[in-house]
Amino acid sequence: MSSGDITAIRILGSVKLPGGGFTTTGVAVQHKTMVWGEITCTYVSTGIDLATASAYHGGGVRALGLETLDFIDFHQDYNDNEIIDKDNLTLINLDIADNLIYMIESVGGNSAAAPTDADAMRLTYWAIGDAPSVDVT
Amino acid sequence: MANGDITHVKLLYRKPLEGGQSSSGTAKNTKLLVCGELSATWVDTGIAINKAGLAAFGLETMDFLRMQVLTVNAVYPAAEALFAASFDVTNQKIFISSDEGAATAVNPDAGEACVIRFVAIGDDATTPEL
Repeated sequence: MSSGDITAIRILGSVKLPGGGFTTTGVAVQHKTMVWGEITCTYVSTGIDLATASAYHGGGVRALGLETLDFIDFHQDYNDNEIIDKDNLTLINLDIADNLIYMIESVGGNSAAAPTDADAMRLTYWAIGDAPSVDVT
Repeated sequence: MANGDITHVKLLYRKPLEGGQSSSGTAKNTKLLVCGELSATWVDTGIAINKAGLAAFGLETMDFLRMQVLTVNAVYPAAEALFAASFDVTNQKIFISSDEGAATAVNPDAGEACVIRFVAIGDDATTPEL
């Protein structure tokens, strides 16, 4: 295992949102899907790579339980080396083009910066998008 | 079009949710869950939604909003260059910072295109109160 690898993904919920969906090009779709779960990984400055979750339905966005991603939000559940406090909030983004998760900690303190490479952490996520073409089990 | 204007909004999902209440506690037939994408050009005084109002998010009133900045000037987030977005409810403006994690976080440059995905829950203008 290398820094930045995802060691486990648990999809904790997958709910069909019926009716009223569109693709980003405006094509109507019958439903969207809402998923939430947790990602266990280690950090690396080049980004936590969803491709390393290949054991989970081939990795990428499918590892999260979706085929395409409309919206995603993350929260840090725990970090081996940092506890969230008044000067140590976290900010997490996804580069949706390359499926890389970036993070900074110590937000609110004097020097927000990326976590140290190899820091073990668990992130939770909540996302809406299109269901995989094959059901994720 | 001026800097700070919303250039277009894409609706990706819209779904009524049952069992809501207004902020004053009045029961509402339905709430609305909306997921979409909003494009705008940046200005330091904030991206103003007042020309479209909360209808820019597909809502009449808004209970909850989360935003995910997809790109600024067609650039995705990167290491020590994350995006953050917040919404000024009073003045109905969106503010974005970039380069979060770098030595100095900054705002986008005037006129830069900002693409924001959002999820919002609130009231639909067409749903009557009980």
